Amino acid sequence: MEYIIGILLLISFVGLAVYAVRGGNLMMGMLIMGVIWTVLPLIGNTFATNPDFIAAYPGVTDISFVDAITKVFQSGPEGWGSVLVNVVFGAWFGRVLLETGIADALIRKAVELGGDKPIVICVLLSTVTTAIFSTLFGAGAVVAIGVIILPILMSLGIPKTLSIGSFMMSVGAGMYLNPVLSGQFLAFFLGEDGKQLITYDDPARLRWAVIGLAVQLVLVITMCAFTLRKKKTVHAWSASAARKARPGYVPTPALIAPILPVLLLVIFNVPIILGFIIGSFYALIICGRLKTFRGACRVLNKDFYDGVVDTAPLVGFLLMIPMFNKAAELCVPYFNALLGNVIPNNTLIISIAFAVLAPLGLFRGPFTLFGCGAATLGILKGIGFSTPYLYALMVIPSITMNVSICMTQSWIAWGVSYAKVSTREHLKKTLPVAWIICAIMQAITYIMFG
Amino acid sequence: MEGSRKKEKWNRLVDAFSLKGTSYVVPQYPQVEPEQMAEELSEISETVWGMYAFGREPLEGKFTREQKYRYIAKANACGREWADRVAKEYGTNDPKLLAERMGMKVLKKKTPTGGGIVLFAQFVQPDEITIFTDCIAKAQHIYKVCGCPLLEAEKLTSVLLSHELFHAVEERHEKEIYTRTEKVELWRRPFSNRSSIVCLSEIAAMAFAAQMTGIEVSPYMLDVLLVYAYDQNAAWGLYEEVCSLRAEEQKLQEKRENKNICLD
Repeated sequence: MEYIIGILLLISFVGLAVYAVRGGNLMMGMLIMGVIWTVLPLIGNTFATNPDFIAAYPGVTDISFVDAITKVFQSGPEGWGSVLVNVVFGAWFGRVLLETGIADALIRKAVELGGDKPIVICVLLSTVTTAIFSTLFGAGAVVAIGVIILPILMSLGIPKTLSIGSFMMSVGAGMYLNPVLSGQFLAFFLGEDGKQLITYDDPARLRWAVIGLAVQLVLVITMCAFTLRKKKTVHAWSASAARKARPGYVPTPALIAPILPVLLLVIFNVPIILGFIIGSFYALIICGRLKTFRGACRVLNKDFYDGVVDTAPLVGFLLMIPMFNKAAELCVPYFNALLGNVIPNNTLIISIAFAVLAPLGLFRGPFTLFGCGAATLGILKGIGFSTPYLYALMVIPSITMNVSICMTQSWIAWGVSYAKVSTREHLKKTLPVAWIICAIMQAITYIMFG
Repeated sequence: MEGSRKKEKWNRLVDAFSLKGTSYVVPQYPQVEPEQMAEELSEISETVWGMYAFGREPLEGKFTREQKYRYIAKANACGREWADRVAKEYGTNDPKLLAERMGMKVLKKKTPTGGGIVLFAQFVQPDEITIFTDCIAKAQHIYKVCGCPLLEAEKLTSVLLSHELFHAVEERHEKEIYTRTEKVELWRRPFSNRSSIVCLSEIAAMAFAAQMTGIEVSPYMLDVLLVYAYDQNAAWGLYEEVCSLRAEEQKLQEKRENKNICLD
C-alpha cells in the first residue's frame, strides 16, 4: 500500500512541475497540492497493514483525520504569521527608501563617481543595486530602480543584454541577505509547533548569506568586465519615457539607510522589525519628511499602504506554502518507503547533483522554492538532512536561477520587455554566470553544512 | 476627484492580491494630436532641447544651469562646424554618399524596437551603422496625419544616418573634437577620474544632422514623434516634459530681462 501511495504522490509532484513550467497560478497549485498530499497519506494510513511501517512513524501514520486537516489547513498558515509581519515591515521600509529619494540619490552618486567609464559604472551600480536590494523588496521597487539605472547604462554604450543581466543579477545578489525574501524561504522550515527551525539571525546562516551575496556580486562584476573588455562601444539614438522629476535634496548621512536594519541586526543584535522601524524613521527624519505630526501620519500611512501592495502578490502564494509544507510532513513515510533507497543520503552527491542540474531552478522547475521545488524539499526533508544544509541547498537555485535570471519572475519579464531583449539573448548572457555561481555556492554550502 | 483616487487605490490593492501584477503605475499624460505636437515642437529652441538632453545626462547633478547653457551652445556649434568640415573633406553633404566615402557599413534592420526604450539607429565602433527601419515604417502613418516633413521616409533616414555619422566622426577625431576633449573631474585629489559629458555628444550629433540635411527644426523632436508610433502615452509624457522645460526657460528669461531693466 505504501508503495502505491508513494507512486501517486510522485505522479502529483510531476503534475505540479508541468503545471508550474506552463505558468500556472502557483497559489492555486500549492493549494491543490496541499489537498492531494493530505488526502493520499490519509488514505494510505487507513489501509496500511505493514506493522513495521506503522510503528516507524508514530504520530504520522496514526494521525486522525481532524488532527491532519487542522495541522495542514489551520496550524500551517497560522505558523507563518511571524514571517508575514517581517515581510510587511520590510516592504514598508523599502517604500520609504524609494519615496524619500534615497535609492535614487545613491544611484546618482555612484554614477557621478564613475563618469563615462562603462566598467567603473557597472561595478559601482552593481554594488549599489546589491546594497539597496539587501533590504528593499518587490517588483514595484525593482521597476522603480530599473527605470533610473537602465537608461544610464545604455546611454554609456553598455549593450542592452549586459545592462539587463547585470542589473537583475545584482538585484538577486542583494536577495541573499534580504530579510523579506529570506523570511519567505524560512517559512519552509517550520517545526511541529509552528516555530522556525532556522532564523534570519542564525549566525551560520547569516555568514552563508553574506558569502552568497559576495560571490554573486563578484561574478556579476566579472561578467561586466569580461563583456566590456573589447570595448566595442555602441552609440544608440533612442528615446525612453519622460524623465521623472528628481527627488528633493537627500543629505549624505541618509545614504546609509538601506543597510541600516541589517547592520543593526548583525552588529547590535537589534531585531529586524525594530531595525526596519529605526531605518525608516532615520530616513524620514534625515530627509525632512516628518516636520509636522499630521504630515508624518500621512507619510507613514501612504508608505505602509504602498509597501503592502508591493508584496501582496507573494503573500497569497506564501500563505498556501505552509499548508503544502505541513501536508508534505504527512507524506514523509511514503516517500521514504519509495525513495529511501533511491535518493542518496550523502550530502556530497546531493550537492554535486544540485550544482550540475542548477538550471532546473529555471521556469519554476523542481529546484526553486517558488515553483515545484517546494515538493522537492518535501521529499528531501523525509530523508533527514540537516535544516541549514537543506535551506542553503534549495535557496541557491531559488535566488540565483529563479529570482535573478528567470523569465517567470515578474520583474525580469518587465526588464526584458523594457529593453526589448529576447529571452534567448538574456539567458545566453546570464545563464552561464548563474550556473557558475550555483556551483560555487553549492561547494561552499557543502563545506559549511554538508 | 478624491473618489476616483480612492477607487484607483482600491483597484491596485485588489489587483495586487489577485496576482495581477506590480504596483508600478505608469502616469497618464494629457492627450495631444500629432499635428499640434509637431507644430509646437518645431518651435522649440536649441537651448530647451539641450536642457532636455541634460535631463538624461548621468552627470547632470554636477552642473549649474549657467554651465549647462555654455555646454549646450558649444556642443551645437561643434556639431555644425564638423558637418561643414566633413562635407568639405569628402566633397558631399548627402549622408548616404558620405557614409560610403567614409567607409561605413550601413545596415538596415526591420526588427521592431519598441518596449520601454525605442531604438531608432545605432553606431557600433569602429564602422557599423544600423538604421532600424521599423520606426521609419511606423512614422509614415504619423506623416500622413500631421504632414511633418521630417517624418517623410527619405528625409527621416537621412537624419538618422547623419546623426550616427557624427559618432563615427567623433571616433576618428577624438583627440580634437569638442565633445570628446571637454572633460569634467569627478574625484577629489590626489585621485583623478576625468570624464566626458555623454549628452554633449548627442546634442552635437543633432546639430550635425540638422546642418548636414538642411532641416530647420531640431532632430530632437523625433524623440517625441517616433515614440508616438509605439506608445502614445509615453510620447505625450515626453511632449509635456519638453513643454514644461520651455515654460521654465521662458520664465527665467523674463526674470533676467526684468533684472536688466531694473539695472538700467
